[in-house]
Amino acid sequence: MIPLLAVLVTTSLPAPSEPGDRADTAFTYMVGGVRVIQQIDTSTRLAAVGVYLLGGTTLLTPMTAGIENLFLDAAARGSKAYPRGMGTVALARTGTRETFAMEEDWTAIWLQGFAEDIDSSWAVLADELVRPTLSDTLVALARDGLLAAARARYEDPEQRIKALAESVMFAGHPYAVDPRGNPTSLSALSADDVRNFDRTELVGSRLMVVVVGNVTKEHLTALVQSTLGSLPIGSYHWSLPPALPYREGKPGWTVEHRPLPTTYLLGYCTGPQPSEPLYWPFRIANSLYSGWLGGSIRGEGLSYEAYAPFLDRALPVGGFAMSTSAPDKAFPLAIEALNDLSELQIGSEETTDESGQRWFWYSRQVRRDYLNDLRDAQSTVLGTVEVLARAQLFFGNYRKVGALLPNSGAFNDRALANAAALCKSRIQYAYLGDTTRMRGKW
Amino acid sequence: MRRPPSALFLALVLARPAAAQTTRDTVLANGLQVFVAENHRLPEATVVVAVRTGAFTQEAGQDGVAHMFEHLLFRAYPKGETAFNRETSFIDAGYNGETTGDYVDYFLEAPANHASDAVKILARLVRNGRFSESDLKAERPIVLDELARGASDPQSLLERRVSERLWGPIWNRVDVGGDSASVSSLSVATVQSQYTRYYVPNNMALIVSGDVSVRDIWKTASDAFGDWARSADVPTPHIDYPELPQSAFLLLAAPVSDVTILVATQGPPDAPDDTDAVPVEMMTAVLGNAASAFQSRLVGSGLFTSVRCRYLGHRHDGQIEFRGRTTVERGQKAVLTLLNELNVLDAMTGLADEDLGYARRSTAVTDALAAEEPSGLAEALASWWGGPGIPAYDAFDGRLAHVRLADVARVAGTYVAHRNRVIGIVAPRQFLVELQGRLAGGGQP
Repeated sequence: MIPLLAVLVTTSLPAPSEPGDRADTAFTYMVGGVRVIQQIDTSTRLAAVGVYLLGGTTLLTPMTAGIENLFLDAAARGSKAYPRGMGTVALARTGTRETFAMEEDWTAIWLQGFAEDIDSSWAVLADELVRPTLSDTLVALARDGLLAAARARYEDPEQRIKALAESVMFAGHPYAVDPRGNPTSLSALSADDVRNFDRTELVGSRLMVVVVGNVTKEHLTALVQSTLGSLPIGSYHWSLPPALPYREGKPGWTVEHRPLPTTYLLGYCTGPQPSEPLYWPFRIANSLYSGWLGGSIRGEGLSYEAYAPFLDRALPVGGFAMSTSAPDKAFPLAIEALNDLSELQIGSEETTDESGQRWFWYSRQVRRDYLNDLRDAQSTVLGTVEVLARAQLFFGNYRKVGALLPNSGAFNDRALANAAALCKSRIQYAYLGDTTRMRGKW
Repeated sequence: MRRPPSALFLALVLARPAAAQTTRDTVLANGLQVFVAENHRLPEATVVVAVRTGAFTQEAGQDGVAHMFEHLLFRAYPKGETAFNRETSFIDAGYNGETTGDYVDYFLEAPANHASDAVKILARLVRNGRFSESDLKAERPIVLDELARGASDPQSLLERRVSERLWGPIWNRVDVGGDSASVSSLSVATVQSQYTRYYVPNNMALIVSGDVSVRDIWKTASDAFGDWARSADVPTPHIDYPELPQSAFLLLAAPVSDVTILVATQGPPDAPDDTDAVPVEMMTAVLGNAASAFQSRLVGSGLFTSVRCRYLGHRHDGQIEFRGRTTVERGQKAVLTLLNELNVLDAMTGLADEDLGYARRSTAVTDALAAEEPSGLAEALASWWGGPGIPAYDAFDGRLAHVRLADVARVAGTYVAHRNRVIGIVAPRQFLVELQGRLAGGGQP
């Protein structure tokens, strides 16, 4: 996944241009039941293509987790016009990069390369989707690779603790399913399952194509029409996933003992959906929390990396993450900071007390980071593809790029306090490492 | 403010973002080199101060000292790290530092209209290194946690162990991070003496890219650094790089489900006068390209799920790596097949001149994509300054264009096929036991 709009990296803020500027030159149209969003940019030699297979985890079950991943990987290994991996070879010859990204809300297939090569690279991508071979052998090869990746993912401590936390936190919700698949689901998926998926799920209404670069509308229309336009339209309608039901009671712990040199701690809470009023206060509060965690917990020498992750999805997730050799000391500090956050006052440049000053500067930095990250994303062809896609899918209109930034009202003390309280009421914890280091402070 | 993690093991990346731009340079009277690359695509500027120190200047027992510097210097800022945070916030700048084998750098990314302020802040940062016992005491556990994270990941552990074995007696000249023992034993006196020796203007470069003017930056550089006295010339440590006396296996049993093999050899240094670095870079690009026969035999056949090749070129040393991932079921055959492939790599089986063309095309796309993100340019220039030098950056495309298949075959023979190597494998214990038996019996794939 592209770390789009991530606020973990501190960067700069120039006088911002209006965030919708580039989106204003984009346009949309339908080709054979497939929505196409396009922005023509003649100033670059590059082009980026995003084909979004919508639905993500809402259309998966624990048994089918990873099937889109398996389908795409197998399809890339052989299709009618490009048998025996010739598609990969064809792309490599032009230097074009093909990337698959399985996310909770959709699966994306991205192409990045020179616009002059779009015919050949599109031909490969479209043949994978429309005429995949999906033989038993190719599916088996794909499964081997994905299984290895899934096992590695579940063994790396940093990744493992996230998977542990999500599987428990989202129990009963679509997000409990790993869209990339886990070792159990991938092992059980057969070639027949994959072929059945191809027959029933690859329909025009589930697809959205976003293209940015030096490609004309006529050219792109012809490419889509002759390929994805031939798929059955189907009856899929995009919708955001359901909210996570509120659960009463104390925060739960998911704990796994491992004799590691350090320990990993995670606190996850779900936030409001992007179109809800509390979304931006939640996200801003999370960013402020991140600044506090870095300054305080790292400042105390308790962690190399302590921050507040933000998973930017239709149902977003905030909270805290850290590695520490002293979890018994660092964990209470993280909780104390979350409590403080529910009472914060941002203040102003003139604020004299230390706490107010701190929050003021954090908030200024956060505001700058959002603007900067969006502008940086829009300075690249692939970043622009993602911005347009998210605006379309989260806010119903690719032109609403401005909604990917907070309005000034979001920096409101009361709203931020409410958002922090929301996180506090929903937070669930995960721990990976030597459990004796917690000294009973669960 | 959170400081994002520093890059401990940054390899020299030969992407050349915004290659079409002109880099202007000057040298102040005190020896400070100043490079400015104007790029007006976005109203941003990146300001880097790079210091020619790193793992290569570490004496025995000092592993990790250059990295410790990088952390401590922020605490040593006049009036402390809080003041540094505040000053960078005032100009809406983000910051970080990184330590490599060749150099340490500190950078600020700021709005272009604050580029001069950013230069001044970095000047204050690097000119005022006064380290205290309390700062060292406070920062040490953070660095140790950073190292512990690496040690918690079997893949990172494999990399470290292989590299340590490859460089043997001069491991301290390569080991950027150090280990818990070396980091725990570092004293303030050691840190301070290293700072005094290497943090001098005639051992540094100021590199600025973005929406700036050469004239303004040169003037600011002169104002901020010009009164800093030149030091005696900084000697480059004399290092005898020993050849690996014989190939070695390093088997790491770990709680993993699959098999990772990492084969490392000593490659050429990426030094200003070395002519092999670019052909080696081309070799790894060709072998890593999905269209190559090499990938087809190893990955397309299903033996490996992936095989990656990379060249870690530094000014004083170079390392070539082949990393393959496979399953336990295919692992025995896969490992032996890869080793056999490497034994005859100079035959370039199935590779042709057109493979070089694909690699060049792929590099061109990489460059074009990098050019979309101008903030990376100053940092890329810093890595070239620390490695083969900025002139090599300017000449890279031309040198790459002249590499022929025969050149690639020659370096493949010199640095891989006929070279002793370290073969590291991380896998479940039972797999390693079986592999040992097979190797002892002269096993064939």
